[in-house]
Formats: sequence, structure tokens, C-alpha cells
Amino acid sequence: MSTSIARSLALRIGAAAEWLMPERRQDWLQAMHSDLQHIECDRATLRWACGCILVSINERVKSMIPSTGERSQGFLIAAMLSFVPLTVAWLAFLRDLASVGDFSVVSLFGWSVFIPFFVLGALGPVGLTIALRVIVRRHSISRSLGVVLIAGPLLMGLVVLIAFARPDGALLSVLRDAVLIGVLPAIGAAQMRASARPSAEELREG
Amino acid sequence: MKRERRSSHQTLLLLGALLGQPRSWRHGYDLAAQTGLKSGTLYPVLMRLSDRGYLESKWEPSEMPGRPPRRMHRLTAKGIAFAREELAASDEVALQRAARVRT
Repeated sequence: MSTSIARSLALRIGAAAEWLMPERRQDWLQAMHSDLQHIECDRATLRWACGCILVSINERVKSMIPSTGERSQGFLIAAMLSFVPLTVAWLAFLRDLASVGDFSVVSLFGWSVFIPFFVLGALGPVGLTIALRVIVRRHSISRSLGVVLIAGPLLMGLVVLIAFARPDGALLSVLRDAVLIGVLPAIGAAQMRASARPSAEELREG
Repeated sequence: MKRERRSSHQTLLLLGALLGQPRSWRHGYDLAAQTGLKSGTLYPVLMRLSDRGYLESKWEPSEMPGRPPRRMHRLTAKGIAFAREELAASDEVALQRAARVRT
């Protein structure tokens, strides 16, 4: 490949990058394009242009994903509501616990169900409170909290499935319960994690 | 214990280069040549630093006739403080790692 072809190809790639780059980043692409036209080595211009197009594609993809501020409050309210079934189930469990007594419930379900229900179910009201905070402050939740709020309810759904699903029983209703108190809050937590602004901790990352 | 997330290696390289001449305006290709970063890596980092108010930019006419103006960059006062903090923290981490290797 002759050097002039390399430069001409680089300029064409640069033009394609300009077309791809979102409007709000056009000045940055101009900067890259300007640098490109100052590079003496023709082969280096081609490498620089490849970088330009990669940056443009990356920025274009980013601009297509709705980010924090662009997301409607409705998404976050839906995320908050997704914790309601788990909260209701946990409160009902506590009510039963109070009425029949701790040991009766344990003997009825066994510790393997009692403990996950008690611990993981508490993620319902916790998730509701955190979601409310996200709505008010428009800040995302931290990664570790996100993992807990996603994995916890999923585990809860799994416990429900394992504990109550019987081939001869009402499989559909158990599946529905598992989705309502397991999958739904997990999706809500993922939504909260994806929406709102990054936390101050994340902003520090370069 | 709260785990603090630090800047990437590429960001540290760029911060180091910019901090080397904090009051000088530098263009992207110059920074790429100094740090060894490719344009596809360098510019996203520059954009992020600018978005966070750590970098200021301006357009300057080219010294070469017939060439377009160039965008020049330098750290803001906030950026200088950030760069010092990040580089010091990375040095500390490197020292801790070295100490762990020695023991």
C-alpha cells in the first residue's frame, strides 16, 4: 500500500467517524481530526484514524443507551414497586410467626426455609427504602448493594421453588410466587443500578 | 472497609504527562506520543477528564500553514489537585505491593 493511499484512507475513515460521532462530542472529533492532519507519517495517520472511528462508535453506542438523567422517574417508581410483593410476603411471614409462634413455623417449614425467608425477605422493605432514596436523590446504588439486591431476591425465589414446588401440587402458583418475590425485585434492583447518576465513588474512577 | 476505586493505568499515564507541564497547553498527538496511548484510548480519557472539570481546552491556530487549528489541553486547578492525589495514591499502592513482594 502506498503512503498516499494510507493517508487518503485515513481521511476517509476520519470522515466516517465524523458521521458516526454524536453531536455533543463533535468538537472532540474535530480535535482528533485536526491532530490527524498534523501527523507527518502516513501510516501513523491510519492508526490515528482507526482510533477516531473506535471512539465515535463507542460514543454513538453510549448515546443510544439511556443514561441516568434521561431515564424517566417512572422507571424508578416501577423499580420501587417491584419490591412491594416481597415486602408484603415478608410482613405476612412475620405476622404468621407472631400468631403461631417461632417454633411452630420452624417445625412446619424447617430451618432451611425459615432462615432464608426471614433474612432474604427483609430485602423487600430494605429495597423499598433504598428505591425511595434513589428516586429522591437521583443517585445510583453502589455495585455491592446492587449485587445484594439482585442476588438476594433471586435466591429467595429459588428457595420458594425448591421448598414448595411439587409435581403434583399447584406448580403454576408457586412459579408465580417465585417470579413476584424473586425475579421482579431483582429486575427492579438492576434497573436502579443502571439508572440515576453514578455514585461519587464511581465518579472518581478515571 | 470502604474500597476506593482509583484511576486506570491509562488515566494515570495521561495525568502524569499533563502534570509534568501543568501550565502548558498540549495537543492530543503530543500527549499520545509522550504517553504511548493510542488515539482510541487517549481521547475517551481526555473527554472524561473534561466532563469532570479536570481539563480545560482551547483552539489555537496551527503553526503549519494550511493546516486546521488544533485543540490544546491542560489541567484545571481542580485537575492538578486531582492528578496529584491520584498519582500519590498510585505510588502508595505500588509501594505497598513492593513491600508485600519483599516480605
